[in-house]
Formats: sequence, structure tokens, C-alpha cells
Amino acid sequence: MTIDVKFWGTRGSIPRPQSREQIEARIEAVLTEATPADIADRASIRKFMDDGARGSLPTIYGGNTACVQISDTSGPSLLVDFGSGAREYAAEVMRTSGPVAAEPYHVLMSHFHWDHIMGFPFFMPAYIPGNVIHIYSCHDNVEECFRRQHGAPSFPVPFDVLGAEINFHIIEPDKDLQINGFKVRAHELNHAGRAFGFRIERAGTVTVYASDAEHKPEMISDGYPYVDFIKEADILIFDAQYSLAEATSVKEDWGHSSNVVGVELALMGDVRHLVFFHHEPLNDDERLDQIVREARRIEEIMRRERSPLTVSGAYDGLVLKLG
Amino acid sequence: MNATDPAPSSLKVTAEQYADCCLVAVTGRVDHTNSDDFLKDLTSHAEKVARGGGMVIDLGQLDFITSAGLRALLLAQRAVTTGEGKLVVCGIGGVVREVFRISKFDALLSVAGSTSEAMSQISAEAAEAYTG
Repeated sequence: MTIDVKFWGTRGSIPRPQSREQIEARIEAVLTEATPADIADRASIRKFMDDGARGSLPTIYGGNTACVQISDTSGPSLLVDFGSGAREYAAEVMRTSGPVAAEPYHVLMSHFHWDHIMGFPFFMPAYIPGNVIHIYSCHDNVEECFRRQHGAPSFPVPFDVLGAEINFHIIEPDKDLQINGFKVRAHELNHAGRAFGFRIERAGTVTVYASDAEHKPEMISDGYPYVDFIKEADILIFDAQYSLAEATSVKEDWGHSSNVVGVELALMGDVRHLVFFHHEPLNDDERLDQIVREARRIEEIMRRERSPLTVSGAYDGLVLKLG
Repeated sequence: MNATDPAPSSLKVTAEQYADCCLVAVTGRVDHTNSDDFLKDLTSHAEKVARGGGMVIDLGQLDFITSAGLRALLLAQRAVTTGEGKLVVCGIGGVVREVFRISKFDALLSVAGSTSEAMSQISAEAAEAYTG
């Protein structure tokens, strides 16, 4: 039994499609780097591309907003947030399982800022009778938030037209719950409008989804409740949208954190793998790679006698395996 | 940083006055165990800076700094600039320089290459008092 954590959308604030210039730059880099042996046949081409054209290409992070799937390979799964990545997730499920899913969908909502809910009107299973969708939130106005997004003049199809059975569940923070076979604990994060992170456990693994959180440097102490919330997580999905300088000056109180603070907290919480998420839409792939590289250096500086902390940047389509 | 160690890390903050500039020297480590003390020390000195005067913080003997320490420097800068003064940081090297660069604090704070250069950025009088 293993747990897969799949990232369907990793961008923060607003989707960021690849531009024509970015795509052309990648093609140019590939053509510049490739030797005749690299493109001799399909297998050679595949290997060349998998190696990032010998490291000459940055990671492609993608542009969909927040949506993460945590699934047990034996069957049950949870989805977290309905960002624009949820449309891709739904398309994949319908392609592999047909329009009506055999099992209900279970979705945890961190909060209702636009980038975390905008995928729902394009979540095709919601339109199809026979599907069942359970939506869990610590906000008592969860249903109102979903209905409002479908209302005129923002969207042409009213919520009441949706054919699926949609159930809203208001859950309590800081309390262990069982949701579709997963142990789930919600915890409030410092973010405008109240966002909640989720500690999700199954099969001896711990995944913490804790996007949209501003951890001010002065909050960081041994008694900070967040440290207990992330304690010994296998994966911590962390909002590192800004640089530390931005987060403490011009973008203070905008609700997001930095790579430096992410490393500090992950080390304090004995986390094994820190995964950056909610990427700033202004940042291109090169800059996001740089943020990850620099965080790895910060981790080396701060680690001291500890076991190394793995640091990565999530990208659309990334699958991390646990267990 | 040994993040789980509750014992405060070693830190020493001293100050000397040169003309219209307060020169603060920091020795040791700043992390979450002692950043409140660091902030109090810096704020105390910043509040004494005369209107239009300056403050130089020499980090040449600082071994390590976390986000909370960087914030303390930023708050000291705000306190000094509120009084129309100027704050300059100098002496950053080694891992402290790396933390400044990665956090982008090297763009947020005025950073000088040496104490003399920092003093001259405050005023000619401060530079002369320091070198003389």
C-alpha cells in the first residue's frame, strides 16, 4: 500500500499559461543543445528530454492554481482545493473511469480565495447526475461561497442546475477526523479570510497541505502551534510565494511566506520533504528553480547536525510517492 | 540553528557614538531563541539616534542569522528612518552574506563593504570621528 501525492495545480493567485516566448525559448535551447546522437531515435529523444536537455532547461512548473490529490494506490483518495488544476484532475478521472465515478469525490477546502475555488465551475463531474461530491470546510459559509461563484454576472450556469449530488460538511479545526479512510486534522493558518491547512495521514504516512499562510518571523518559536501541526511530516506542502524581504516589507500581511521561513519551520518540525507550492505568477521557471536551489543552500546552513531535509518545488503533474 | 534547543544562543550587542552616528557591533548568533533580545537591543539604540542622525550596524562578528534577526534589522531601519535618519549595515560575510542574498535583504537594507564606508554614508563628521 503506497500513497501518491499528485499536484494538479501549483500556482498561486492566478493561472499562468506558458507564453509563446517561453515555449520558443525552450525549443531554441533544445535545438542548441542537441547532438545528432540525442535525436537519433525516439528513445534517445525521450532520454534527452527527461534529462532536461543535459540540464540546460529549467523545470516546467505549469500554470494551474491550487489542487492536490492524495490517494492510496489501493483506491481511496482525497482532493484538496478546487483551483484551476481541478479541471485537469476531472478530465483525467472521466477519461479513465467514465463520466460517473463509482466512488464519491471527497474534497477538502482550505479557503475560498479565487485561486482555490475557480476550478469548480469547470469540474465536469459536478454537472453529471450520478456523481456524488462531498466538500469539507472549516468555514460555515462554504455552501454560500460555492453558490455565489455560480451566480450572475460571474457565471452563466446557476449552482442549482448542477446534476451531481453535492454535500457540504463543516468540520472542526484541530480535531482528528476520518474522511474516506484518511485521518484528517485541519489547522488555521495566518491568512486573510482564514485559511486552513490539513494534516492527512494514512498507511503510516503524513502529508501536510499548508498553503496560503503567512508565518511572520516573530511567530517562529518552539511554542508555535504550527510546528506541532507539521511535526514529522513526510511531505510539507508550503506556500513560498514571496522572498523573505517582500514578505516582511512591501507584501507584509498579504498572507504568504518565503523559502527561508519554510526551511526554518520544516527543520523545527522534523519534516522530511519540504515542497514549495503556490508559486508567484510573476516568477518564471528559471526563478522558481533558483528559489528551490537557494532554499537547499539555506537548509545546508541551518541544518547543522540534523538529517538532511529534502527541498523541492512542486510542478503541475508532479507525483510524489510515500510508503 | 539547532531549532529545538531552548537555550538562547550566544549574542552580544555593543554600541559606541561617533559624532551623529551610533555604531552597533553584533557578535555571535541570532536565531529564534534570542531574536527578541536582539530586537530590544537594536530598538533601544535606534530610538536614541538623533533626528537626522545615523546608525551603523557592524555584523562582521555575526556568525549566523535567521528570519527573525533580519526582521529586527528591518525594524531598526524603520525606527531610524522615521526620525529622518539613515541606517547602514556593514561587515556581512560568509553564511550571513548568503542569507542576506537569498532572503533579498541585501536589497532591502543599505549595505556597505566596510565600517569606514558605512560611517561615511552617514556623514563626514561620523567618518572623521571614526577614523580619527
